[in-house]
Amino acid sequence: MRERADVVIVGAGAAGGVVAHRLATAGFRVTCLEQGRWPDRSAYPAPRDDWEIIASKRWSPDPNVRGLPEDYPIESDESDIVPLMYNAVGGSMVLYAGDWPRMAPSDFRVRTLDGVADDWPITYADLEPYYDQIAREVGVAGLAGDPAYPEGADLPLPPLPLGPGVLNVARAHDRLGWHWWPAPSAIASAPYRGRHPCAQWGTCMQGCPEGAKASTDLTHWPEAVERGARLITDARVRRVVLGPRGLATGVEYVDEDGREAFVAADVVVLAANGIGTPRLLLASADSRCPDGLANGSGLVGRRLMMHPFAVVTGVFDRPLQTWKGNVGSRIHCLEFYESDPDRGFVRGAKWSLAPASGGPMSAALPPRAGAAVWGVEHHRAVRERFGRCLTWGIFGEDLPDEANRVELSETRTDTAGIPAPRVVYRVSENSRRLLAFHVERATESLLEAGAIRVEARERLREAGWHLLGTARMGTDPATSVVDPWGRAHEVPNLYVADGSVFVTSGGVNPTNTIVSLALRIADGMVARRREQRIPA
Amino acid sequence: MSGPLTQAERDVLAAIADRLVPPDGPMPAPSSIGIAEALADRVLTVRPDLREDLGRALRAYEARTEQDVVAWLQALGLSDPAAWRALTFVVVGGYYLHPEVRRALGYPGQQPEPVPTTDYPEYLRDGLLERVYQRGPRFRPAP
Ligand SMILES: Cc1cc2nc3c(=O)[nH]c(=O)nc-3n(C[C@H](O)[C@H](O)[C@H](O)COP(=O)(O)OP(=O)(O)OC[C@H]3O[C@@H](n4cnc5c(N)ncnc54)[C@H](O)[C@@H]3O)c2cc1C
Ligand code: SF4
Repeated sequence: MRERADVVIVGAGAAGGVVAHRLATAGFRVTCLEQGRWPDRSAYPAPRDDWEIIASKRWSPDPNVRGLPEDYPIESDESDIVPLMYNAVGGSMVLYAGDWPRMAPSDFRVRTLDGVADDWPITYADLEPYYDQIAREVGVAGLAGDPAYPEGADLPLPPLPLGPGVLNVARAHDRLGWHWWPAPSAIASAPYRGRHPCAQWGTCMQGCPEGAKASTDLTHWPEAVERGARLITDARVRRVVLGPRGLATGVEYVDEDGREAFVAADVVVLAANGIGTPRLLLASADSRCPDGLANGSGLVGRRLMMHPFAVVTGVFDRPLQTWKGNVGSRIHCLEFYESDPDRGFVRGAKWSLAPASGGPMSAALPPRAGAAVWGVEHHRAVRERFGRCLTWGIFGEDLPDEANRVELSETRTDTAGIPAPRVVYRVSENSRRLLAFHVERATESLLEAGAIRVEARERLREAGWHLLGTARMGTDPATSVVDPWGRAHEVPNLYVADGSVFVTSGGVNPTNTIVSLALRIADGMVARRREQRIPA
Repeated sequence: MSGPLTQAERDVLAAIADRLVPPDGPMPAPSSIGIAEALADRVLTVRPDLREDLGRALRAYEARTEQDVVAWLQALGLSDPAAWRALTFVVVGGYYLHPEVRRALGYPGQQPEPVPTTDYPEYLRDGLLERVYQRGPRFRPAP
């Protein structure tokens, strides 16, 4: 099979959905290839009594555990953090929690302000109109005016309810003089553009049965398809093909019946996420680019950032029904977000306060239940914790390090024979110190709020939700893979639109920034369409 | 080992479960609610991949020298983590499926409940959030 498009996009997840929507709206003929399928909302496990059992396998965020035919395996033996994702229309947003913070202005200027890592080639101000536009497209619930950010536009929806116990933590911060703010979420708190409001199922990370949580299968794809975008599912892209003039001519893929196929296109956009995109660039090596496509800098796959994570749990002495409501952040704290030279590390972290979600199973199994949960102690341990814990989830800035990387496995492939990625990643000394400091402060917060006990876990391994930095943007082709508009320095009709382009990680959940950047990249393609070089 | 649990395996599983999760007030003994029958079968229907690891845990129990079941479990966690995971998952997963257990715990299952159409949140009414705002900008200006 062979088809033609103006633009072929690889990946129908967060970034792919936004780019397809923007380009189809501008009249481009868009084809998107997605290895997964349309999610079936009626199959989400929330209403079933065995939902936690199902969640542990079919809905695991770890593709190695899920092992669905559309997943590719990831070699992560040499990684301190396991990469997590979901492969379907909507991408990892199908399982994400919907936390929707922005990065702060200083996140784009880490070199200038802190003397480490690199500055972005763009600023917060460059991205601000895209953050505002995306907020309307996905329907963000929250309150404008957060003093952790420059003054900005109102959000389209009122904040979600805080839920029991959370206000006490806010009051504790009031006494401590610390920042807090109702957390912005990409979850409808009222009917929005045909979507239902949140029904507090508490299973956002196993798929939202209500369709309240924004993911591009709901927010962007239906309209993109209506406007002419063609979305081919069950299609695994194996490589980007480079033509004789140094331009990409299209992509080769394996279709649902295992047949080889090709989409010829004027422009190729990669939106396969921070692991999938470098994997594809590396797998597209040929005699002209033996180290991988667009990899003259040697940085394709390098500088992987995954946000080392800590969780600080406060056990309270009253029922808080924590299995209800959205599982992501209810309030956030950016009191310690900016660098302070006295702390012994640079940069900072955002804290997200969430109920310890899940049913009794997660409360009764280690690590949540603690190690001493067996025997006569069992019921006391479970009663004490189940429905009574609030947690600060702490994402710290993860500074880029070229040794942290995505490569191709020498031994493993996916079901279509495409090499699996191999991830090598170590948590840095800066991250260790940063998390240790933040865990201490978060412990103070929960004790002040009246927790009877506080337990912390640092540097969790199953925490690679954020996949960033593996095809960074910059102005210098020697030290970056794509330019400030997402275009590969070496292949002028190849774009990267996902979290791979991040220069530094910031210390917040990245998807708002990923899709705002993707929208900016798509806007750039529209604005410069006449100058775009294309294969003959 | 694959296929359904054998009767001998079910007996061992029930014995272990009663020691790991002993009855306490309204919380029933696992064996009394069919932990090693219908409940284990339900867990294994969804997670057939655990069957083999569970079988190994049960055989390890029979061959044990340690009499204290909790201490034995801890040792199993070190010597065969996959078997430990399967055993604890089946016991806990099965036990907390049972309606009597859920009732005693006050867990109704995941239920839809519309978000309240926000009456003015308390933190706005009582000036709590206003004070955060009044403390001024928290971000570092960047060039
Ligand atoms: C459990 C979980 C919770 C999370 N919670 C949050 C949160 O609260 N807030 C937040 O900001 N972020 C969160 N994240 C992260 C968020 O989901 C990601 O940042 C975001 O989805 C990344 O967008 P993306 O477009 O780069 O990639 P993805 O959304 O992962 O999309 C990539 C798509 O490309 C497809 N693809 C890859 N390779 C190929 C190929 N060779 N051929 C065809 N298709 C291919 C994949 O199937 C996938 O659909 C969470 C993630 C997880 C897993
Ligand atoms: S809590 Fe809300 S957002 Fe989360 S799954 Fe339920 S309805 Fe969806």
